[in-house]
Amino acid sequence: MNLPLALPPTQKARRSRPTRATSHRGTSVWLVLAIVLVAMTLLLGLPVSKLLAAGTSPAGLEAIGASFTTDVTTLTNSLLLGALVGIVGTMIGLVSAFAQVFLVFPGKKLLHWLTLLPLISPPFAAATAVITLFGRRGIVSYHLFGLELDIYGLGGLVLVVSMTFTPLAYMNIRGMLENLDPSLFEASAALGSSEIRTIFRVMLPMIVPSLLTSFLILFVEGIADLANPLVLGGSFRVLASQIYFAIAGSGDIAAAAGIALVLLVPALLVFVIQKYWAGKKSVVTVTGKPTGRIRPMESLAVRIPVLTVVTAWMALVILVFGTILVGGFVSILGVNNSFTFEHYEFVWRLGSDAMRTTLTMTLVAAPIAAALAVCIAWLVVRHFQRFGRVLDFVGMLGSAIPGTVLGLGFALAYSQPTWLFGQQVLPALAGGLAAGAGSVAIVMVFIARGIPTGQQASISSLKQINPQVDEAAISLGANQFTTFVRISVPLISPAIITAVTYAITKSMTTITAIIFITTPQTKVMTAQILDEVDAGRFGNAFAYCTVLIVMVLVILSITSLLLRRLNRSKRTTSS
Amino acid sequence: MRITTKLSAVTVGASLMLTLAACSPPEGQGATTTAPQATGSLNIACSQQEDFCQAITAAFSAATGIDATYVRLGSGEVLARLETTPGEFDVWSGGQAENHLIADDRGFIEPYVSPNAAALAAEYNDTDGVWSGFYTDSVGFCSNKAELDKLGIDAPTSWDDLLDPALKGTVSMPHPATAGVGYMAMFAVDTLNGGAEDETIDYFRQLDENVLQYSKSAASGTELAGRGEVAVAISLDSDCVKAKEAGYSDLVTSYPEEGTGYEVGAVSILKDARNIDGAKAYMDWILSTDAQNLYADVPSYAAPTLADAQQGASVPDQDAVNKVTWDLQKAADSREPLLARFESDVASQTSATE
Repeated sequence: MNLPLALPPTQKARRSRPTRATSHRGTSVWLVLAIVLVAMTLLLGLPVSKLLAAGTSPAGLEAIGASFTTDVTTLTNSLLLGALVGIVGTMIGLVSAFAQVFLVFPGKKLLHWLTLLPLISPPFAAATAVITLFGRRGIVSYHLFGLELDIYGLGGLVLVVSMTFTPLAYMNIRGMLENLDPSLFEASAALGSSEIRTIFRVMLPMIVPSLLTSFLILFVEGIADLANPLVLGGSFRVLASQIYFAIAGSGDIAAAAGIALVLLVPALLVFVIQKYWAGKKSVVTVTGKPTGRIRPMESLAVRIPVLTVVTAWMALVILVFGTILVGGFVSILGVNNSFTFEHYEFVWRLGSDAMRTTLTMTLVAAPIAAALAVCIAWLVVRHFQRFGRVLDFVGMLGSAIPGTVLGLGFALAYSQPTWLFGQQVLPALAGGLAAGAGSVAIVMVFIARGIPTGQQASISSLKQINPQVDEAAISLGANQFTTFVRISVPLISPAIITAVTYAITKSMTTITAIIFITTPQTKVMTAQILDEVDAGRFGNAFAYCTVLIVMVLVILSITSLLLRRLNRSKRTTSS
Repeated sequence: MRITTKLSAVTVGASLMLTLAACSPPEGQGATTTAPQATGSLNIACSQQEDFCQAITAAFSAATGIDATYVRLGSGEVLARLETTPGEFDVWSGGQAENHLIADDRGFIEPYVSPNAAALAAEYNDTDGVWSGFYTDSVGFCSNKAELDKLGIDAPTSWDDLLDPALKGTVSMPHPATAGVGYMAMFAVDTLNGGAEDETIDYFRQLDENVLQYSKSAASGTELAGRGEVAVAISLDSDCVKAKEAGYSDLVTSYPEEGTGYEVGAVSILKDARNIDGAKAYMDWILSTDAQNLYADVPSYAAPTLADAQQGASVPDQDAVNKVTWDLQKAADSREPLLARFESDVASQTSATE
């Protein structure tokens, strides 16, 4: 085939709306739509509506009222934390991405992987490591520099939460920077601008949308985070932990649902702004391939500050993850540094069950999440342009809804059997009595959380493929679904790798979304890490975290290897 | 594009109807579907530390041949889970007796008097057969000696010592809502105040000045103290010894001389247990000398309740501790009002004064 498979790269940034492949939709399209709609209703519709019902009950409304009156500080604290995390994380992400795209320096590849590493950090890992390193008796702060830092509260939270979510900003901004047209920089230089001036007058204005997007994504993650405030929140109260205390302490589900709704509003608001305002100006791809050749910047005024920030950032990541690694092998890091295997023995004794279960559930959830993500993208881009916006929005809710809130919704919706018009359509799915001992609900949460990123990647990827390719296949007699599977899917395989990768990472590391639905028979690794942190056994927690990180890395490499091989074989047979 | 507009309207409508319909099971049918079915395996809600739960569960299975699994949950968490998913657990093992009474008040307990309960002292048995006690320990102050020396003060020996301005921001207290010990401390102070709730709240407001953070669980405070992040943690004496033995060698335990709270760690059988025979077998077993002899090996530093059970060398001697008169029923009844006031008058006050 000699058809142009993709639009020329320079057209990516301002491509026109692709036209649909054909004017009528075959049965396969309707079938996929029906599957997606049912899935979305189960994954999001039911939990959210149950949550709304509980949150608007009298007790729920009372809790909502209190959030705006007597306890308004908790709300403002959450918003403040979200805003600061958004700013700090976006700045670090910007600088790292900039260094990656525009500078030449030793350790560039290392920076890339180190920046991505926090993506797979299990909950609590960073917080406990930071206490060990920078606490009042921290190894670095106190024993090395004699400082008594107070990291409990806003300062420590911003540090830890920003660090955890900076990778999202980094990927987002890097994708956009790589898509910038190098000729703009050449023009700027030819007109006599210094590199600094070019950065501020040419580059930054062009990537404002992705900066804003990063800020908003990090804002939502910041207000939703539960694990870190529990460990080093100090007296800084946030809504996410309020929900947890309401449930775990008092069993006050209505109040928890009320507070959850308070948390849901800013999250959704921010999401809508991001999607329909910031997002309108650009389609950011997290898989962005380098376009053209960008000439590296050389002036010291640029290199020195950027490389300073980058070095500090790399040092922080190395320190934190080094602590996790080392902490698993010594008795009590910072107190008794003798070498031991006891933590790993503990983890092996108690955790092998959880490892198996978590792995199995992840391997079930990830392909489903990726398939749903790709199907949604296909429907949105190729078949339902108007209605697609609704569909796109619904799919994205999986990450727009704070994890704590979604998890609570699942507990409310699926602890009891589901009824439809007087018929029981589903047995209970959450809780120890449920089908599969509650694992079904957990897998569903994994799927809901795993869809959005893959969906975004697939949508932008699909938009880059000229619809004429599809039309050619259809005119040769293939039906729409065959065309999709045989032509589109291989072409967007990088996006599919992203989808699967994300779904796996999200599933393995999520805690906030499943904390209310774990059961006796279904042990999850992150929940067990929480128990170890709770019991004050950081060594065990560190060992657990290391095992989890290694597991994620191994699965990811195997998956990407398999997918790449699959993709290659498809490409060779089709050409 | 009229069709897509229509389509979106239809879908939104359909999913709304679906979700609304799903909200309302037909009258009288909702409950029957969750009727308990007997299962071979025993589900334990375990309110002890993870390694204790694991060892005890395994030992029980080995001794009786009954397959058993557990989930480690704090007392508050168990109460919440009983509310959301009743019937999930067969037996509740560990946690203060008053929490088992609360569960009973809410109708979650199936009374059972084990034949082995007769060997227990009176204070370790409920007269109505709601629970029996299988371990006991007390609220203490778990201090880091090195940190105290730096501050130039001695280990606290009264509740008022904790209010010392020298301790500002260096005390850790478990959150009373999620950790039983936090509430035990509250109720101990309340008992010392003769039940004057305002005075109790006033005390914890003052203490709040010195509190670094309210930890979700009791044991994490001993870790903070062991590391020197705080000077004093309000904790169980058994947890303090446990942390010390684990390698935090600077830790020392002291008690408020005027009287402290203590816990009777209780076991009870839950209503609608799917494995009622297994649950009874568990209760019989944990109240046996053979089972309680195991505490020393786990190691748990809580004292066994059977007089003839072996006690580990480092287990705090409970007879030497001055305890307040613990009115279990009152402790159970006061939990909700005290927690509500803690939430509204103490904890949220913190952020307001920042």
